[in-house]
Amino acid sequence: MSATLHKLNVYSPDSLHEALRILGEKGERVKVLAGGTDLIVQLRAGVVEPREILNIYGLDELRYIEIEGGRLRIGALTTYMDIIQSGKVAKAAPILVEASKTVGSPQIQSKGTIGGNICNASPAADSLPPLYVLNANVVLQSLDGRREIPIERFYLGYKKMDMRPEELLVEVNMPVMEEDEDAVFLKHGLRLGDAISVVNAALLVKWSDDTVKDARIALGAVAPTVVRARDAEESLRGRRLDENVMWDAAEKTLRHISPITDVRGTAEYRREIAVNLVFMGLWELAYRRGRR
Amino acid sequence: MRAFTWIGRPVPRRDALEKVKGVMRFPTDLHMPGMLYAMTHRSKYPHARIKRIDVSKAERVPGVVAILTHEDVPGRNRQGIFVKDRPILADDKVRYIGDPIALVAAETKEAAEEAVKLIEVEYEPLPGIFDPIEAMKPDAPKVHDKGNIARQTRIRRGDVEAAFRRAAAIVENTYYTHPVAHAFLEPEAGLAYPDEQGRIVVVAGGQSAYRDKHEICESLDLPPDMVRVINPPTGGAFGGKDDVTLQTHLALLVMKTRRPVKLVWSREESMRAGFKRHPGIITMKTAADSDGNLIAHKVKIIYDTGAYASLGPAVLDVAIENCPGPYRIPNIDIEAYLVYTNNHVAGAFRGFGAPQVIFAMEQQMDMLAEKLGMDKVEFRLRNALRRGDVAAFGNRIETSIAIDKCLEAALNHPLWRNREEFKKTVDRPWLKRGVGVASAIKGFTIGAIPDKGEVELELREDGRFVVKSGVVEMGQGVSIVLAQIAAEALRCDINDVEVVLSDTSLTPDTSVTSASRATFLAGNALLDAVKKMEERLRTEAGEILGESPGDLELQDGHVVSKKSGRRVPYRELAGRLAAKGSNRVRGVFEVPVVKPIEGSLEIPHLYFMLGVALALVEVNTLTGFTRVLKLVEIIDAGRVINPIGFEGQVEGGAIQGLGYALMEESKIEQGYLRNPELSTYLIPTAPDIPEIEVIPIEYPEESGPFGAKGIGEISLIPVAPAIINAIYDATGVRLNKLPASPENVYWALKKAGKTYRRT
Repeated sequence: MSATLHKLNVYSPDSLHEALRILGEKGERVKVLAGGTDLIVQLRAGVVEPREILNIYGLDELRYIEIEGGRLRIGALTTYMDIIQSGKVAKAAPILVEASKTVGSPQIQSKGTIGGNICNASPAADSLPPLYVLNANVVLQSLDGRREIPIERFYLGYKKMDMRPEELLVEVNMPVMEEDEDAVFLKHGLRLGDAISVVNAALLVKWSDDTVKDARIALGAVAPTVVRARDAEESLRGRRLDENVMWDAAEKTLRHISPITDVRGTAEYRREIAVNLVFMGLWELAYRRGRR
Repeated sequence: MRAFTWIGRPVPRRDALEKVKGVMRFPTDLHMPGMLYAMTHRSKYPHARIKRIDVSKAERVPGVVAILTHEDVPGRNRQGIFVKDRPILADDKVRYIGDPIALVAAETKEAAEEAVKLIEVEYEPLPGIFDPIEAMKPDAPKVHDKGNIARQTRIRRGDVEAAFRRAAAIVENTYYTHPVAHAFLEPEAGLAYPDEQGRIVVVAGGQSAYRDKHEICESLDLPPDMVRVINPPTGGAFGGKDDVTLQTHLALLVMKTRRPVKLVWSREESMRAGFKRHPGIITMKTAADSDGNLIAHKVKIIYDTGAYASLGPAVLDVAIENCPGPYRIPNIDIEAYLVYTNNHVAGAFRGFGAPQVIFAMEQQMDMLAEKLGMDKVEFRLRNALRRGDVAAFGNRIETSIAIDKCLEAALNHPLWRNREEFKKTVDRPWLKRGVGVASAIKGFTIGAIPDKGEVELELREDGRFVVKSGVVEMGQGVSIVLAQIAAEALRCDINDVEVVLSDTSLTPDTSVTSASRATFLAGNALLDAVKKMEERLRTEAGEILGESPGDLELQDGHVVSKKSGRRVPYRELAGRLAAKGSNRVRGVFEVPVVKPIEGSLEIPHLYFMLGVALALVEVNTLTGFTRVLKLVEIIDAGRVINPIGFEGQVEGGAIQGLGYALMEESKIEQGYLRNPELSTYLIPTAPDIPEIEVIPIEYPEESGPFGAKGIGEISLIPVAPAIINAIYDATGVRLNKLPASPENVYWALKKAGKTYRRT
């Protein structure tokens, strides 16, 4: 049943420095609250042990979208709606806009943040597969300083992150996509709005004429963390994308995933959908390439 | 005939602005000083004997005022509309995971929450029974002592076997439908308090103040004058609040605490404890002759009513009556069972047993048409019931029935005519489009069961009218419809009509707001009241004018002499009638009924609503996801009183039907509900809702108010089969099981080799 939320202490710092100070002092005893679209639900359902709350939603210094030195930098408190409406993201990483549009509903998009999505660490999070194929880094900050790590190394297991109790995730950044790169996001949910992914996938291809120079494929909701389908990626390099090549690559996805059965779908179904989404994504990329 | 002033006009609802602005007070929004917060402790097991209930720890929580168990319930501790099989609070056993065991009332919500968790119940778990077919076996664990078959019947007419022998086409299949929740915006909620006269006043979301009052009094051994029930505007009901939900609990809490008590079920609780649509297992063998005439229909219906019967016995009758669809079939043999299990209690839900059998029948119709090589709409049209026809149960249809006109409209609709064009326009090789059609029928009114409603009409001293009726405004818009009927009949401005609804102390009993008949029943009773009021107005005006009442008529807020043209405003008559104490009249409408046929409770209905749905779908054969691109609802509408309300209700039913077809499902496994939240119990969201075209076919029903008939439930019923038939048209795969969720569709496609594959 629901936790008694009214008894929780909530700290609402005015600055990042103060937030880091509280975090340094309390560590695991506080739970960081951003948009709250996951945390409040989890607290009410009793999934997350009620602790003290560090409410960072007021820290406007963590709300920004910048392109700098060939990298797109997004502050942790940037909402999906900010991303959807950003011309900069549309130019530097359009796949992230595509994915953000599929998150929850307009209400959740307006409240939920990219940093929150990363730290909630759901294997089904829609922003994560794009960040994987975009080779994004997350930036962690504490009173002791900042460190930056590739997103893929950030996740250690189911809901386990390489993040110390005194650290706060403050930014995610990634290289601006290049002219010869194209990427696509696919989400399979059980309805069109307000859906949680049964399987989601991001595919990025670097083209050389009609040949794949490089490919990155990431899938969500099919393993304890988002996974890269490296064998599939490998099989695409140097190839033209006909349907046989696409199916071969898609089937290799199975080597990288270990889905479970839950209320949204069986493991067997997820395996089928993972393969099919990769096929659909490759078909889509080839189709776009062909039309150019 | 003169043109209507108010009937057929899109008069905006009076509660629209309040609702849009969020200021309307629904039962959940009610507060009172000194109010206690109540919560319910529910069963942990789907089937268990209760050995001991220990409330001592819970009682020690500061702020707890009362904890009630079955020992606090006066009388027999059993309630139920058809069968008294449901404890007010569980005593000997629990029979499903929603069964209430104890009620807590506390000064704060938090104290109630804490205490409800500290109630300790010692159980002896019993083997449960979750499959209705297993439950019907003699050695199955018994949900109730008298056995698991709550009701069974068989209705036959003609000779199906002889007809099968001469058939040109026979189709036989078994269909499975699933339990779904009403998912109303407002869960079950209410507030109750003792009034200054010592009565218990229960203000709650419900569908009938009078019947809820009756149930409360009967369950708690209270005299009728001790209880008052009020139904404020309710945040959706759809049948889920037809039977009592928490009203008896509220009354019991007030009885014991003598303080105001508020009880609101959480969404999870509503999903777990609330009524559901009956899951069904339906086997149909249907035959047609070589001319395309239906000749025989052999049906076996098994409905799982869960732990308690609730309205199930009547739901089963509606299933039986509508399983032949809106068609003439001379030979029928229908066997039907209502079975207890340890699943959710199934009760009333928009369609009331018809959606399940129509889902089955309309697939039978498609398959037969295909076997006969006929157009699917033309085949239905050939067999469509027409006025004067003898229907499947030997009952002659003598009221308005325009299913043939609906089918003709479907045949001529561009979506049907140009369906091959629509199907071509896909741009990905794994997407397949299809168009499907389905008809539906359901009786409105409660059939052969006697049914009566009263409406009071008062002329206030300012010359304005008050309509008082026991019907409930639960989102369907009945309030504005009654105002329109009154203004039309009384020949006054609609702003001079106030409507007061559903309060056992203020309004007469207009029966239960269900069975798509509020407009029909309350409207007719209102017209009877208007007739009486008109007589008094004319008599009174006749005295003033010195003219014969026979020469007077109502016009524009006045009684006017057809001879002299002289007129008296209602305002002037109001004072005189009030002084005589005759400014109030009561209208009565008794729904015409015939005797139920043998083996039934309420068959046949005399009045029917009908409709046809067309659906255009796109199926992703790589995921199984079905997207509905367009729905057309062609509704036999009698006469539409309010076009905005009509469209709203038809669209709402269409969306609920879409949810039923594709995604909604209470996933109950071994008696435990796996998806009690709205994040896992999926209902359609805005992006899931396609363009919905609503087409009224207006053939007035003479016995309805200004020709109106019921339409509340009909639009839901043909949607699921239309969508399933469209999926078949798109992919060549038939689904005999609901819902057509992506995973179910995917595996069906995969099994049939119809997914997009490597070539």
